Amino acid sequence: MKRKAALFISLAAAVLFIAALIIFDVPESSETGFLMDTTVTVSVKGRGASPAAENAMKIISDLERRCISRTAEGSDISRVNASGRAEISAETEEILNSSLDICRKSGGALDIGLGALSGLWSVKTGNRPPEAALVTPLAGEKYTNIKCEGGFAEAGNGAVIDLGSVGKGAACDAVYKAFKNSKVKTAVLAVGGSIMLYGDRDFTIGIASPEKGSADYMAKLTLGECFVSTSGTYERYFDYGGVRYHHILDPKTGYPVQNGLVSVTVVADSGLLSDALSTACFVLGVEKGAELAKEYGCETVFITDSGEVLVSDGLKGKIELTDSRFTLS
Amino acid sequence: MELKLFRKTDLFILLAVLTVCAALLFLPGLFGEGLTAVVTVDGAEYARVDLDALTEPSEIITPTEPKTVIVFEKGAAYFKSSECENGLCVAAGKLNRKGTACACLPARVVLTIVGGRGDVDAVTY
Repeated sequence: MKRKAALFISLAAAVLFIAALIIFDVPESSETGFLMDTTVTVSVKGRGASPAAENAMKIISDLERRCISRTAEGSDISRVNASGRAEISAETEEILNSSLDICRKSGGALDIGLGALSGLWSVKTGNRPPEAALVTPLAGEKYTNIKCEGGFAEAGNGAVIDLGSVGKGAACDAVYKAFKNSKVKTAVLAVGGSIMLYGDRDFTIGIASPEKGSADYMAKLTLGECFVSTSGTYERYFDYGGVRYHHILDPKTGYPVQNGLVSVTVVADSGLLSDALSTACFVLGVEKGAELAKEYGCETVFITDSGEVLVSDGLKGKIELTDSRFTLS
Repeated sequence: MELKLFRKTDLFILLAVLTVCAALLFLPGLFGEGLTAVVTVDGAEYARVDLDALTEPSEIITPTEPKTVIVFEKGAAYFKSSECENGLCVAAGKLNRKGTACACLPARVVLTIVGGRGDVDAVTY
């Protein structure tokens, strides 16, 4: 009898243990959407994963519609652009001030006042470059004509605010804040190519292949909790007369940057910073771009059109090339 | 006489039960969703195709303006054509790795590869 009882108790304990593992398994949830003119995906692990994932999409949608969209009627930025001065929300004020700081420190390599220029170059208007007579007057330093304080923002003297180079990163920041006040354990949010890695584990991120963009990757980065953004010539472009016209514009000339780079990836502790610096560092080129990133305590990966991959010290040992046509230097 | 709580056969039974329980717990993770193509239109899922299970290629035409044609074949999916101006989605070629994605922004159509045995959480681009 004792033997049977011992066997029964052991079996019951084993089954209960397995059942407990199943019951207390960490729930997972994911959501996909089309926001900020790009695809947004979020995968969440932890208690309340499903509402947290849904909430992430709502936060991004709200930030776009209420604050940073240039086209959404009634958004803070569209009202400032339309009237030259308008009252703005605290979120928009924070985003504008952080962006303007990077505009200044990058010497105008990032310029959030070039909305008129980026509108002119929009690839949706046709696959040929606009005439120089239209481009040149819209180029040049514009962010200096944007003011932001006390809950109001102003844009004048040719400045049209365009937060396209910081908005996706800012969306990652907004979701990060919400997750910090939740039971979410780990999460991966991708707003286009701007990524938030949340939680205490190692994540693996692919760096897009210059030939195929997000359809393939040429290297893998192993990272902890952080934000990652990339600016690349392959994301939005058209070819005309044997020249590739991509979407990263040199604020000084008004034309796409041609400096031998195909992409710049920035790893930072803020989404806005990684997003903004990926653009600014691309415009500045390897040397000055690396200096700017260092000033902000960020890590970088520069990829040249000859296949060279230049990695900052903090990422050495964390990158693995998966395409033999590229070399670390 | 020595009284034993367990005999050899009991231990085998216990081991067998534990093995079955562990298999029930872990096998779904090991043999979960195969390499799968997910197509979304305007953020809503429009099609989901198990690429590992395909025996012959198939294609869909998205109900969008502009229209896009997406092909699914064993282990890969791609934009075959698009009526959009720039055709960047077509130029991206075949997608065959978990975590990769391709969008036709004018049509608001996104093709994403999920499941399967991939090793990246996301792709930055």
